[in-house]
Amino acid sequence: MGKFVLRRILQLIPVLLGVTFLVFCIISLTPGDPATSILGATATPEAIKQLNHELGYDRPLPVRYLDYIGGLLRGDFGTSYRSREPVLKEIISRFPTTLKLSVAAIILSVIIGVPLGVLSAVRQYSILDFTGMITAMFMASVPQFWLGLMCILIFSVKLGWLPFIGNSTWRHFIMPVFTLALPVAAKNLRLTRTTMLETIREDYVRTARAKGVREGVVIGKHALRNALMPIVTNVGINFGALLGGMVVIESVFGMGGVGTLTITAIRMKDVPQVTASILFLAFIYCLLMLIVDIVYAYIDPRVKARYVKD
Amino acid sequence: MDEAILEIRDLHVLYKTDLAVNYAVNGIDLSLRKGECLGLVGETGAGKTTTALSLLRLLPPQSGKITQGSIRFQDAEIMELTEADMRLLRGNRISMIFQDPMTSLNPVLKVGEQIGEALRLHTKGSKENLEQRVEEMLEMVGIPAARKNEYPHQFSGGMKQRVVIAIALSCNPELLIADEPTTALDVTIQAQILDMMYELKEKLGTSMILITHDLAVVAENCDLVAIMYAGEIIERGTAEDLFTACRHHPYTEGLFNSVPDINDRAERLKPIDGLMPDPADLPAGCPFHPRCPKRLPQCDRKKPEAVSFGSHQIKCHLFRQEEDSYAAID
Repeated sequence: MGKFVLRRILQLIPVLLGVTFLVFCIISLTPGDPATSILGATATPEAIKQLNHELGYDRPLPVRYLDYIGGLLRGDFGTSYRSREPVLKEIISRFPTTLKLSVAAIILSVIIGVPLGVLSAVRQYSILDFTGMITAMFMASVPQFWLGLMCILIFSVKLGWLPFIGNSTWRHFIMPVFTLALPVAAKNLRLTRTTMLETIREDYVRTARAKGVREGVVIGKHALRNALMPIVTNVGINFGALLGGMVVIESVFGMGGVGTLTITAIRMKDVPQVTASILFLAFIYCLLMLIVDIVYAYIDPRVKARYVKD
Repeated sequence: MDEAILEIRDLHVLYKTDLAVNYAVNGIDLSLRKGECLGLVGETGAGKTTTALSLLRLLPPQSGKITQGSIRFQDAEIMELTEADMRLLRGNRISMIFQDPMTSLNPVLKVGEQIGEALRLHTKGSKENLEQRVEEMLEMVGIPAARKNEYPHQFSGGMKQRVVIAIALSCNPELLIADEPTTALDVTIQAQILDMMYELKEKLGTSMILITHDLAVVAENCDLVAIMYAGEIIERGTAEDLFTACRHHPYTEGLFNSVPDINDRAERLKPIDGLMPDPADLPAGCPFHPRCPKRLPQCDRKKPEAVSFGSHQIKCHLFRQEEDSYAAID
């Protein structure tokens, strides 16, 4: 198992290198240059040229990329073109908000989605099942910004219960967390229902019943654990997607997170900032997938056996 | 003679789906005394497993339904027990060995845990006691006790079936239902498993219902035999009746003919022509008449009644109840 984890961590290196290369190229190949973005359209061509030279942006792309990689190897993630500050500083100051939002949202989505999915499967075709499925379909289909705006409209503007701009108190987090969690909860519900419908018809579930095990234990201990694998995968993928796709909700609720930081940086053609932000998110995403794989091994001994043999 | 521990009367079971109603079991009667072994024989789809699942009330809850009949086990009427009382029976006084050992064990739980589960539910005792009993059960079915911490995927098919048997026997049940316990196994393992089951049954004084389509298995192990066809018992008797009597239901004859005979020089087996009728659309009269080589004119109109010759009973128009013998069941 330790060997497996080590190998997976080593595999991160080429993946992350690939990420830097792609992001670096894509950003650099888009039209425009950082100096124009910073100085504005009214700046003189000389000033723009001067600033681009200062930023080192007038050098050819391969040179800049190699320079960047050289920096990475020394632990230097680069300096933002715009703020002239180390990019990592900006990310680290913004990351807690993004992390809090996504962790809370993912936990909430599991708490809501999985039990309701199990209930839907156990009581297939009941009223509860139908309501659950229709609500889930709705939640999975509506755009998040709409859901967020509706929340603000109802709970902040009309009822005045919750604040909606900023991230100073925990009450600021309630609406964004729900807005992020509900669509993921809907996916969890549908997935849990589907896999549970399969597992509750398995022979070993019948074996458990034939032993005289209580129905609650049959479902919770024998069926659910076997249905968990796809659910864990879904939670992992959605966690990653939440981290990376936070920008909409961050904008709607005016919370400065990594998402807004990245989007602003892209607009400003702030190449080091964009690359570092995306590199950071990609790294966390890879870590999440590794955790998912490790969790697999704990859920299913057959998966663990596969790792041990290696 | 002891009193019957199991008495099934006029059991009817059906499966309802969106498309059709399948009449899986259509009025069967069975009784079993302590220590006896009953062989329930028939083709796939004859309603054997359905009958067995009905005894434990474990039919698929969405579709399966017992519509009529009574199942008495000892002094309890199974049809009237509450779910909680049913749980006290399952795995404790009646247990079942399922057909496919590959899928009958939970892949994510240790085998020791799976054997211990029924014990923990139905017996009192300390944790050490329980562990010891689990180890005993494993040794009894011929698996080293040390393997209790392994998972099902680490066992071969035959070993898995031994684990399933250990689970079923862990609480010394009064009735053991074995649903084709060897069908999924290699022929070499089949004999081992059957011998072991039979030995354990003798040792524990358990009554047994052995569901199979293998007549040789029945001949070797069973006291009583019932042949099922399309949800009915069309012939029954002691094993001796079935294997030595000269009168048989044409379906039973067909079954015997489809078993290879080592003394016979025939190059081909004689299978029964045709297929089991669709349980959603059973033929009128005798359910076997469309395939019957000895069909009589009344076979497609009138349901044959059971005709008894001592302990041997056949449901076929070919035979008529003789005046002096015991009256047939109406």
